[in-house]
Amino acid sequence: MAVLVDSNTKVVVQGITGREGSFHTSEMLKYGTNIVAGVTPGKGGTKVAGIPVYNSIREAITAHPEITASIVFVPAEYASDAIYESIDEGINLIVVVTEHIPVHETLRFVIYSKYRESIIVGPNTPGVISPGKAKVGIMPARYFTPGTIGIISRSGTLMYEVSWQLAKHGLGVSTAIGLGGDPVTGLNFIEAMEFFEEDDETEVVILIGEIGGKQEEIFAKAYLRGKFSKPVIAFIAGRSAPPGKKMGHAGAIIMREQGTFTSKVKSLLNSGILVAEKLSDIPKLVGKVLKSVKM
Amino acid sequence: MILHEYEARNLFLRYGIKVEDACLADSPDKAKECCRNVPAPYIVKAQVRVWSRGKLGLIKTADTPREVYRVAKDMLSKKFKGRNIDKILISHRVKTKRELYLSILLDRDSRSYTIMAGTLGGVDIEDIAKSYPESILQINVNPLIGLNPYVARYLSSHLKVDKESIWNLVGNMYRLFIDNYCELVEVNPLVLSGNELIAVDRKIVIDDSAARIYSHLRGFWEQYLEELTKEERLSIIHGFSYVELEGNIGIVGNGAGLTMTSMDLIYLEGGRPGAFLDLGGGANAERVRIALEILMKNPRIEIIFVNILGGITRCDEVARGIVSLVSKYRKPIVVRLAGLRENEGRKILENAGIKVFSQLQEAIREVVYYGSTGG
Repeated sequence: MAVLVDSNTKVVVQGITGREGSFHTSEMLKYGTNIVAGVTPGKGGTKVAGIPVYNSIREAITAHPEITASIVFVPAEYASDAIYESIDEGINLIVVVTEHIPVHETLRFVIYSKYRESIIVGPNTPGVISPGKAKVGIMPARYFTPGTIGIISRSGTLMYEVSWQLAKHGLGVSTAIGLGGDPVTGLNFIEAMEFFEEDDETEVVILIGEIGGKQEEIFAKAYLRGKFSKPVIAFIAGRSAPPGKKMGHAGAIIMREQGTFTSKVKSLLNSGILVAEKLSDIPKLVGKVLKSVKM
Repeated sequence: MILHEYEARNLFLRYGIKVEDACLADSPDKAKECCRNVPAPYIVKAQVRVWSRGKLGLIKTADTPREVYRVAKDMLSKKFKGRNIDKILISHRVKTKRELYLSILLDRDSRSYTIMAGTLGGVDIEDIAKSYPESILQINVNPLIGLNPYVARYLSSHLKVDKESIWNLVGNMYRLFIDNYCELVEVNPLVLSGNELIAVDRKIVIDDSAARIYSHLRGFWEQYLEELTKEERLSIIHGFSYVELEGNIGIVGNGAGLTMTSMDLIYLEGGRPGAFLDLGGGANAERVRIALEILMKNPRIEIIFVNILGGITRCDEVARGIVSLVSKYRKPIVVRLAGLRENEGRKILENAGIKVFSQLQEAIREVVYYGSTGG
């Protein structure tokens, strides 16, 4: 098993002819990801790393009806348009790597995707990897080994770091999902956890959060209500960061004193979730939890 | 990016929102001249991008042109956060029946817009929310749907104002909010003068990502960049996130989470972080060099910790960049580097006497030790 992506996932790369798009297409192919097509308007008929390029998602799907997922490298100015095209053409999973997409645009395509039942991962995400099976993303493969631990992370490099530390202790990952570093993202912690909850292979989930927003608190509340049965271990970055006031007083009212390091750790602990103080504590905690799961 | 108040005022005017008479000045003489077109009494406001100007003494009242001159002279001779205050807004102090509060903001967690209306405006709305929570009404707006007419009924009955006037106002604010990719549009106070609603002071926050790419926002963006220090401007152009802190250890990392975690670990080990620089995506040699130079030039920073966990980063190139800077600035540096050609990179650094670690925890201990012994 694994969630979201595996060796059966058939991928189209949007923005395949760009520098990032073409480089990561080769990297994903090397990893064994099943990439079947690329799209760049105006570049149809060419090839990148042996993969045929089409002018539109519709042309790509006509030639390759097996396509189930898209990964988006299109620059911020044109990214929303590319994402709507994929949603409207019925692609189930859309991984948005692009950084700096205006948040109003993200908000709109994220809401729209729920209505059309497409799953959006990102924007500003390293993507999704199911080690040993496939990666639909830009993460360096060397830090990930196969196993039974699910990872959900807001931060990209922290996801690599945690997976690497697990690997050094002989622990591996079923799937790692980068939610993306933007204020609004497609998948959030709860939605990502729903996939792991259903996955036979995943025994424990690591949640990597950071200060800002209140998604960690919202997750903790759902966990406390008994929405999930699998054990979760959390790590929150930003304990030493000075408080920001990006949205001023109105923002503070909306937040209701949530979003800080203390608030997040407190609500996670309250819900029975283990919280690692340091990154290096995570493998120990995972070991402990796995032992109790197996008993 | 927080807009200047005068920029926000111009946008309000453009969207047909009634504002007070006002005039922008950059000298005491110009301020006095402003008084010919703006009726007394006055309120003089420093144009700086910050919250709660009143509490910081950046808003003063004046009754006569002479007093305006004096206040202007004083204000324009001051600095705020290291920058001269170079513009002030001379506004007419509007006679008022009641002061209200109205804002629209983007709420990331509920994936919607939120309208916030308060019956007690003109003061710190966060304090009011604590003491009189019932004075604030919140209405969520679905970004795909927009405003429905019931919003006007709710606002009108909560704020006790005419339904048509508030519908006009909130509609115009909403158009402004959407067209200009705002994270926040706020009026505080919204003044009821006679039967008219006047937006007397306002705040607008625009999404930086939109300001970067859309030409109708370019004017605001360029003005903003112009006011930054050279280091801050470099950071923004290269997509870094740079925050200055109190201590002596500078931290460079790729990715906000990893850089923040490095900072947390230094803090947990007893070190004092002095600057935080997240390179963002794409930690290539050139970007690392530019980032390091920003920290090398920061006089408070005595030691630098570089934490790069790359996939496609060429470690040998990064190492060469680091070595060239270390010989130029003579600040100690501790490196944790992983990526392509890691061993080559390590050799280059070690030959230059720079300590390289692959384990994060060991690197942190070394940095904190250096930091506490003064290098």
